[in-house]
Amino acid sequence: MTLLIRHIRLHVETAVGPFGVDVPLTTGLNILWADNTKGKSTALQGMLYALGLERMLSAKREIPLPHVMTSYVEDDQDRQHPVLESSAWVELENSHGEIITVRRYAVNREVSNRLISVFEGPALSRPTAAYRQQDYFVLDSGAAQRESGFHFMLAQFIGWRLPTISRYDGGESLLYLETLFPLFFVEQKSGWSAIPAAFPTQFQIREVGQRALEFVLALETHDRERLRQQLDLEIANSKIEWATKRNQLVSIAALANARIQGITASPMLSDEEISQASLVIPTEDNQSPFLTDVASGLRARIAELNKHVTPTVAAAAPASEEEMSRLTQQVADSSARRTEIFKRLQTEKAQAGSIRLRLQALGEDLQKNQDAQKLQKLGSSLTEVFTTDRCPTCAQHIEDSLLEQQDSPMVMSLEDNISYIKAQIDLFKRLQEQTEANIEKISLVLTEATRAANADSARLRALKAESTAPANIPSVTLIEERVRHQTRLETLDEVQQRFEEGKIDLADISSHYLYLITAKSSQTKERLSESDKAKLKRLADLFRNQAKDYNFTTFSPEELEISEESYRPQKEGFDIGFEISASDGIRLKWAYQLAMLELARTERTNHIGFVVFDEPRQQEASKVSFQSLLNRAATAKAANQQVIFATSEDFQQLTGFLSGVEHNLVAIQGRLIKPLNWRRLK
Amino acid sequence: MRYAILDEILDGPFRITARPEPISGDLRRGWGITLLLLILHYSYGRRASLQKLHFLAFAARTEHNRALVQAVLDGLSREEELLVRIEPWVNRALAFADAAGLLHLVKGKTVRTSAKGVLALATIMGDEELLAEERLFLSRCAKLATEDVVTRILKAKPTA
Repeated sequence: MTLLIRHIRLHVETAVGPFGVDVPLTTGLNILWADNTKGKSTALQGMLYALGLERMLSAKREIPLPHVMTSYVEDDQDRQHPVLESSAWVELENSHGEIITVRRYAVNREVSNRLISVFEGPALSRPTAAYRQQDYFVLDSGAAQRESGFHFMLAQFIGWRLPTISRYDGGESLLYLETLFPLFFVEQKSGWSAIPAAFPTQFQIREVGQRALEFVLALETHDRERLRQQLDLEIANSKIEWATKRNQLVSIAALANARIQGITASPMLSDEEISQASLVIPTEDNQSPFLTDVASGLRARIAELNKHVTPTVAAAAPASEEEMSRLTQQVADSSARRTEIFKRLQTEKAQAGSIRLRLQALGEDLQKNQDAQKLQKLGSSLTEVFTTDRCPTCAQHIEDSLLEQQDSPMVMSLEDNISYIKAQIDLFKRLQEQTEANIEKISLVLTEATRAANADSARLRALKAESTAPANIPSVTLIEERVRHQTRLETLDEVQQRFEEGKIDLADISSHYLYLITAKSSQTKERLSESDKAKLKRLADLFRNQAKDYNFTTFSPEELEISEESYRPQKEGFDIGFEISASDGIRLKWAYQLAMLELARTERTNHIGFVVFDEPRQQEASKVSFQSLLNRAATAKAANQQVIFATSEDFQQLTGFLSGVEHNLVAIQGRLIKPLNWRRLK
Repeated sequence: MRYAILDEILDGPFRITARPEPISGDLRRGWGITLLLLILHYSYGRRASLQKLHFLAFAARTEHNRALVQAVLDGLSREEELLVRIEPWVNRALAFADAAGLLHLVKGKTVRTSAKGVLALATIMGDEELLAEERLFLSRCAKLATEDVVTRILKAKPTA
């Protein structure tokens, strides 16, 4: 899981011929030396650019390269030549010994700089052979996810499986390469300002630094966190599944004007309780009989009707007349009752509307109070008028309110006020639930009453029609009643059957839900595993050890720790910040970055296996410590790792430092980008 | 004796203690001052007349008002339909902010953010969630509500 940078090339075409530079690199310590103004950083930036990583430095989408790569180059006589075409190249090798070369144009009339060409072989160190070429894209969305994306390819080449993490906007995204490389590549300016690194924030990734460190150190906490999130997601899905199924059953029940009794809106855990759930038909008198009982009643009535031989109209007449007058009264009563129910329904709906408005207003007020509370907390950094209870002019006591001070009541503290509003919101939410349940119930009662009234009217019409029919034909009213009951019974039976099937589905969802919440409760609350802790302890040891080597003096290096939360260096639980000197800051930066590299020698990590320091001395740290840094960095060779320093240290002094240290020195005299005519002469 | 009558009615000692009362969040000092600073921030030249300040404070305060005013400024409803209330809390917030040196009242008419106010704003703007809805509204509407438009709206009579 490593990457070795074998060669960097910058190439510029001008009207007078090609310009450029070649930087061959090896494992172990590499020193790229050039005079300060001659652009040693350009070579390193060229490498980042070739790898499509410029957004690690800034959110801007402009080419992060100086004019020699984008507008003009100067020759030895200081004559300027416009750049016609320019490109950055990097040759890379992974831990399987596979080599690729990437090329990206900075200036090219034909080829977009969003395109990166990959040659499947050492095209820079062995240019004679022919290599298969494939193009990939960068910067566009999907560059890290899609197969044609360069970062997708690069992550695969390195052997990384990039994790998915949550963003501030609630969505998810990959941990982009741009967020990982600051841990390996310390850029000349902002790179030195933060330990462990200055991470780019434009990707909106939550706690991007911690996530990047967890991935690079291959901490198990990441998997744990992921599992936890996965479980939360599945639990949420399971709840939705339950609610959907329940809603479906509510609709089915409504076909028979019935409502469900005994199934809660959130998943139930007991199979027994689910199987006991039943359908009831709400009535005005709140008797609400079970659907099964209503169905049995109908069945009995149909059986009763079936027993009798259908009488003639004449024989049925007395009973029919009696029934007619009873029904007439019943229809009139029912109409009045339905008006009453309708009014109740309207009242409940109006109530629901006003509760909704009230909740909305409370929500707005809660937000304002929370804002006010935040402002109060920010107060000290704003101005005291946000926090004080004294008038800024006359210093008399004032309440935290914009009401007339004399009339102002004693104002509740913001904390209390917020709890007060929350309590009200809770109360109104409960009221809302109750009202909604009432509305549902009354609607069902109304529909059922209407159904009964319609049935009565139909029956009445049949009786009336029969009263004028010939006396000796069979009475249809009995047949009508039988048919009507039969139809209703069929509906009830079908609804009941579908409800029973639905309960089986609910029981399935319930058992899955039970499994999920059991899994969740058995999850350990500890964020870090034992092996994570051991790894961080080892990292802290390496870190302290180097801080001592580099002569860290602000306090005893033994007091340095690495936070198990933020992974930042700490002393007695507090992040190390301004209290240390600038030079000690630089020393800690060296120590942290190299500690991660050294940790990768003994522990399983996702470290890329190289570290790049642009101007490691930063004019701050003393010579003694720099010597120790070089010694320590040179140990990378034995571990097949790579350390690249770009520096413009005094050359005499540098060669002095390097004596006795195994290294590869690339010294560039004069300008970095030079005419390549010598190559033509060869 | 103030509570003599109570002593007569009640057979034991009796005491009245004022209990703190909840107030609406927009009547909190910090909230009101912040809203004023935001209004100035989103107005041209970081300044506004008193009437514009009142108008935008009224407009930004509630979701309902925001929707109404937005519709008027977008030309979707008529200016006459908007009944702007001049609210006393705005003057009080202004007085506090002025006393704290966050803004200046120029010639009793125009309000301008002070250097101290600009600093405070920078902190406020640093937290994207603070007064987010109000901010969104002001960023859209403050520049549409020019002094002319505000004068016209405030003078308009509701049509029958």
